[in-house]
Amino acid sequence: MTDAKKYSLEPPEVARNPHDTYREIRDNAPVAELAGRSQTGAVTLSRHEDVMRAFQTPEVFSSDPGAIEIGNIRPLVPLQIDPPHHRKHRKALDPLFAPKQMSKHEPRVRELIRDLIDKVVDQGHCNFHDDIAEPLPSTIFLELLGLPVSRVDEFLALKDGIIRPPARSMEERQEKVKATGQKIYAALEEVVEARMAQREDDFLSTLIDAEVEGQPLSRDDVVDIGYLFFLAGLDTVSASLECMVAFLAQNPGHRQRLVDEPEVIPHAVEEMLRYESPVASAARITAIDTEVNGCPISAGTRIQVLIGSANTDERAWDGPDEVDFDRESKKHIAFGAGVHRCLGSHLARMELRVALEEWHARVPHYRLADGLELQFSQGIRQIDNLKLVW
Amino acid sequence: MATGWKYRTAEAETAEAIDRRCEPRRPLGLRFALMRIRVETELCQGHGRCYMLAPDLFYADDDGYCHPTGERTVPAELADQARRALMNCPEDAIILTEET
Ligand code: HEM
Ligand code: SF4
Repeated sequence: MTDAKKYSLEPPEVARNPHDTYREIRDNAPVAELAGRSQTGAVTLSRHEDVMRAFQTPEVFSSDPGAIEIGNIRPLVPLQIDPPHHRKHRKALDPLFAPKQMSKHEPRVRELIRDLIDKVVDQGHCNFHDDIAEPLPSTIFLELLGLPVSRVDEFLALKDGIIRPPARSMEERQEKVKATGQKIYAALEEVVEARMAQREDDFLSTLIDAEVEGQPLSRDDVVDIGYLFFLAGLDTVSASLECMVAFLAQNPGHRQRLVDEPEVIPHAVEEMLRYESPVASAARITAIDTEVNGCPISAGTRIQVLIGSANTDERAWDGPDEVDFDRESKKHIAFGAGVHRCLGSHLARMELRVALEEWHARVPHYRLADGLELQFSQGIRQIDNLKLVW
Repeated sequence: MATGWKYRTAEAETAEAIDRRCEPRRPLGLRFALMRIRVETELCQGHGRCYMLAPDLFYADDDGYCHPTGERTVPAELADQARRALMNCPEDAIILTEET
């Protein structure tokens, strides 16, 4: 393994603009331990070919809970389950999130984004994170799942306690994550309990009645699935929308294209997902001794799979640092790849498309507030201070 | 873009329309290039890039995976869609063969 501790993805300027660092890591240390708080003992894979191998060979690169600490007491279903069990869970969940189901929710997404835009359009400025990108997916998601929307703020705080715990040390962080985890389980158990007594038209009710290989899901299963949705379905969409709008605010040519030709938006969504890779990495742990690019890796090693780097690897892409909405080939893996390919990708795509359509119809010209230095969070690339003016 | 964007869903009409457009096999001995397409179901993970970009060749089944998957002949007017699907499937699950 190359000693690559000089490379880190954590400095704010790298989080903001990771492409150069990705390239240096790919070229000089494709199989390496990076510097940083959460990196001790973890090996980072950054080339497209190696990343695809990690995603596509779960028998070597396992998703076992040992891969990452996210406050759960049981494995997250289906994220932390390997084949063959993984498959039966996905069989039950896939139909819930299929494009056909998701398109039914499009009118509601459109209505909500319009309401959110109404609140800011006349004031000529907003914090896009607070006013649009955070409330949109959260509200939709809580409604879909069946959690009470009146408690949105409380749930958002819980989610932040897991994904971005305010902590100084790794120990403090892990404790906070665990404590918040318990609260989320408790909140979910409360709602699942209520739905068991009386079904509503929501995901949790559907899950209670779902069968996996002829068996109903256990109550724990339903709570576990809810817990993962909570972690996977909120920040990811907010971060993606923020990365896209931040990019467009700084690239007027690209923005004008979306205003003039809204039919390009679906393709722009894919290309910006590739370039920005809002979920920058995934976690694995080696199940057996293996070798990547000639470097031996022993069983039980935590692996950081660098999606953002694979999506901009010049070994796999022509002109990867150029954002080209008309790019012919967009085999991006912003939603991961292999058996764990993002369950919510069809929901996410619909939300992103509708949000960009509505936003550019109402606020066609916008830019970053003067002197603004964007602050990206680690891992899931949210931008809390995305202040726009128009 | 060459293709308008719209999800086709697994409604019977669309399925039949696609089947009608793409006969399982044309008689051999044609003088123009023959393009065949199929999907390696073991590799397909339901990214949905294919039915987004080639809506006249694929639609989403009830689970969001692409359909149909069996080998078919691609009509000449859909050759662009077929190539586009091939170039955008992240799992390389689409197999396209061209014969002359
Ligand atoms: C643009 C927004 C999103 C991005 C970029 C994204 C990204 C990802 C990625 C990269 C993975 C793979 C993780 C791995 O292999 O370890 C994943 C898995 C997953 N995502 Fe998303 N996601 C997004 C939105 C959503 C939404 C809205 C949901 C709603 C429930 C969701 C639910 C899931 C679930 C359940 C998994 C685990 C699937 C499995 O293990 O089989 N995601 N996502
Ligand atoms: S793009 Fe590829 S993996 Fe995705 S649904 Fe189509 S064939 Fe399957």
